[in-house]
Amino acid sequence: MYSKELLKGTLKTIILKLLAENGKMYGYEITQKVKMMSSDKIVITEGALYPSLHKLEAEGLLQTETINIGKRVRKYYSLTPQGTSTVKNKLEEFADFVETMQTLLSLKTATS
Amino acid sequence: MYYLSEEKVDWILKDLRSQGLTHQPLEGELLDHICCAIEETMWDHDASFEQAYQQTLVSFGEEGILKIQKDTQKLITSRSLSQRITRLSTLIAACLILFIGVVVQAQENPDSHPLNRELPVASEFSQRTHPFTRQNRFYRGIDIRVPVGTKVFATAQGTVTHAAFDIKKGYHIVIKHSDIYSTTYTHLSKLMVKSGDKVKKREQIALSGNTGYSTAPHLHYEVHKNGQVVDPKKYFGK
Repeated sequence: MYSKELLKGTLKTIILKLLAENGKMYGYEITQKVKMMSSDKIVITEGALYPSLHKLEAEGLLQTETINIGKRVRKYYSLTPQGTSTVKNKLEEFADFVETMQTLLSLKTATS
Repeated sequence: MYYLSEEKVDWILKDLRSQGLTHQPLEGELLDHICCAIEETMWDHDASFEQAYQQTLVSFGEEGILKIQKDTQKLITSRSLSQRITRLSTLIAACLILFIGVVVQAQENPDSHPLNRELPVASEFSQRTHPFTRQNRFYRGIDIRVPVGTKVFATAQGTVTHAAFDIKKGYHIVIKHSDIYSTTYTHLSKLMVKSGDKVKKREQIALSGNTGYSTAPHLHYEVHKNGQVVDPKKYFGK
């Protein structure tokens, strides 16, 4: 498991990308998906996930719909058009960031 | 897969509420999340409901659901604060634009010519002998010698405050352009606007004439700045 500090800046990108690929997802599903995809190396805590989801919704990047399952209310999140266009930027930024970090920390031989 | 009964779900909700979960938008969502986690734990580890519930709450960390609630509310509040700031700045910007608009309008100077073309100016803005009283006095404005029936135009946008007949001025018009400027047009033959009308710059307002205390057909034109008469020629063609 990675440290909280390391994951902090990546959460938004992870959420947006997952929703871009899977359409709509609910909170628990997101945590499980991330856990599975990262082979348990990235565990998104509820404490980090829900505030982020609500913030992204307030920012207009996510929209929600609720489905009642008996007494339970399942809240699905999906991207708004604004969210969809943000995903691309976020991913590009992140790819660029990773490359810069690799250079900066000499994790790969700098080319030319 | 194991599914929690409605009674169990109810019990969890009550327990969460007793722990201080009050934020409505989060309540249903967290309840569902916890139920999912419990179900999976019970299924995967063959745990009892109580064990699974305890384990789930532990996974929420020391401060548990209250911290999630606090963080969520904090983020949303900070968001609405920034929204409030955005709204406030929009309001300020709108006021500023309005203010600038008013100022620009207030600066609407009577800087065009009251007639169609440059015509011989009979009297300068200066001292002269009044044709009727024969007294030397400071003459107000300019006289432009033109035939009766020459089109007269507003020299700036504004509101007509007078459009009437007067024994001295004959048919005359006063236009208020701003708190600073107003202009007068006298000895007219025909008024084409009435008091209260809004006029645009270069809009025709009258025909020139020879009415009132006038010895020959001409237009008498004045520019008033803050109540003082100023030389209209300084405003022409600006």
